[in-house]
Amino acid sequence: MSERLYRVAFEALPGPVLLLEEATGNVLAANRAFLSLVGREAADVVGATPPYAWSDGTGSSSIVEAGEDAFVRVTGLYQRADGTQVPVQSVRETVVDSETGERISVVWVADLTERDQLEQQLVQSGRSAAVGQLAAGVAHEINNPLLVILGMTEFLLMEAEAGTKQRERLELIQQTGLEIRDIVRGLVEFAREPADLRSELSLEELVRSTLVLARRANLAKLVEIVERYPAERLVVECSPNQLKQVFLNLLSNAQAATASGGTVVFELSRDDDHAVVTVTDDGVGIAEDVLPHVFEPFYTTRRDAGAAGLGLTVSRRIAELHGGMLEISSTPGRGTTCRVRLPLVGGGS
Amino acid sequence: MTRVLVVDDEDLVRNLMLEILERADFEVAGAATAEEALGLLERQSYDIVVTDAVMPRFSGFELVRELRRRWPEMPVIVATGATTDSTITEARAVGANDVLTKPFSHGELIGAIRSALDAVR
Repeated sequence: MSERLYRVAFEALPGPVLLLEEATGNVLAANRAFLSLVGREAADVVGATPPYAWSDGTGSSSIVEAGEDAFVRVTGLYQRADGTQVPVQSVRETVVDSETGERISVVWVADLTERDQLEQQLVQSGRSAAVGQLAAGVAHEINNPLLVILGMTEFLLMEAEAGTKQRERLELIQQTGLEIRDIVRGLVEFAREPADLRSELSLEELVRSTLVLARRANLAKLVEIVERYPAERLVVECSPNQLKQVFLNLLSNAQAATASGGTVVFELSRDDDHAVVTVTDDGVGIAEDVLPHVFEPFYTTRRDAGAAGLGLTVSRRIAELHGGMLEISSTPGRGTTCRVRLPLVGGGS
Repeated sequence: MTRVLVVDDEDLVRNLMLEILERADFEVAGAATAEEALGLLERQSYDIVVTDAVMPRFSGFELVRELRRRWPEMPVIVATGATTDSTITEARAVGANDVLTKPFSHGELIGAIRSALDAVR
């Protein structure tokens, strides 16, 4: 094989690769995938010597044994030219040029961004499952004493005269007890086992009927709802009531975040073998320090408005039970976008 | 007068239900365990049984199954604090006429008993 062919193959390798002079660390070559990973031009990489601009050398190293060989594996962060960071893992191997005896290090780099995201999702869903199991037990333990509190209060209310301080206090006890009941119900809803009653439905019809319901029930009287649908029919296997609940939750959040006269857009689209329902509002957005917590049970910034902090938790769980996911992104001051991704029946073929 | 047997291992809950029903002019009896309930049913007839679902040793579901076997016509309501799908499905599967989720109001308890009785009459 000619040298040119080797170079073409090296350039075309899908994984980032770096060739270094072992003794000095001088960069002899970097393929396209490497340059795109670090977001730099070849001129800034080839010829560079340590410390490299893209690596501060603070990664953690471990020795990996593979058969008779041993590699150094380093996990760390690369600095891209634009200032962003990317998590990577690299393996270094030494090859000896049989003609010149030159020792060359081949550094194979893997971009861990996607793996890290998946890991984060796994941790999150693991936590979801634990909370789910807890919910059923907690519901039982709370509902019995709550029945006693509410039942006794009802007796006392029968005897309390209207308009008295006593009656007012009893009503407060009752009201608070009912709030506890609702929180526990929300928690149990969250713990729901996968619904058995699934059917194959057009997602468009489902979104449409949910929004008809929302308008009829006056759930969105302060905002304008814009609907956008694709020409093709997107069919998902789903529990319609659960998905309606998700769309209503997202609408309710969007409305709470949007000043009177704002707009909430429901857009249905296809992304490969998934259907995506995107709900976008032009409201206040979610603060950066709040965003990582929005899926946590009982996390809410609207406790005063009676929010239990379970809407997104339950919605995400429902999406997961449908083999899909719920993602959220937001720009403070500009608005929030929620995406419900659901697998299409038969992969959408 | 309609005779109701209330089965719940928690004294406070059982006594509350008994008092609600007494005030609504039902004739009532309480049992703290499923075994005690079966003993009472052998000695005296009741029009309806309201039982807790989760009780130590002999659960409410097992009690319903036993009631169905021995008194197939008698209506039974399962009252449960664990309002998960599986609890409700199981209650129906063993033959409960209705499932009441805790906490319920006085009216909901009385209403559930009346409709279960109406359905069999």
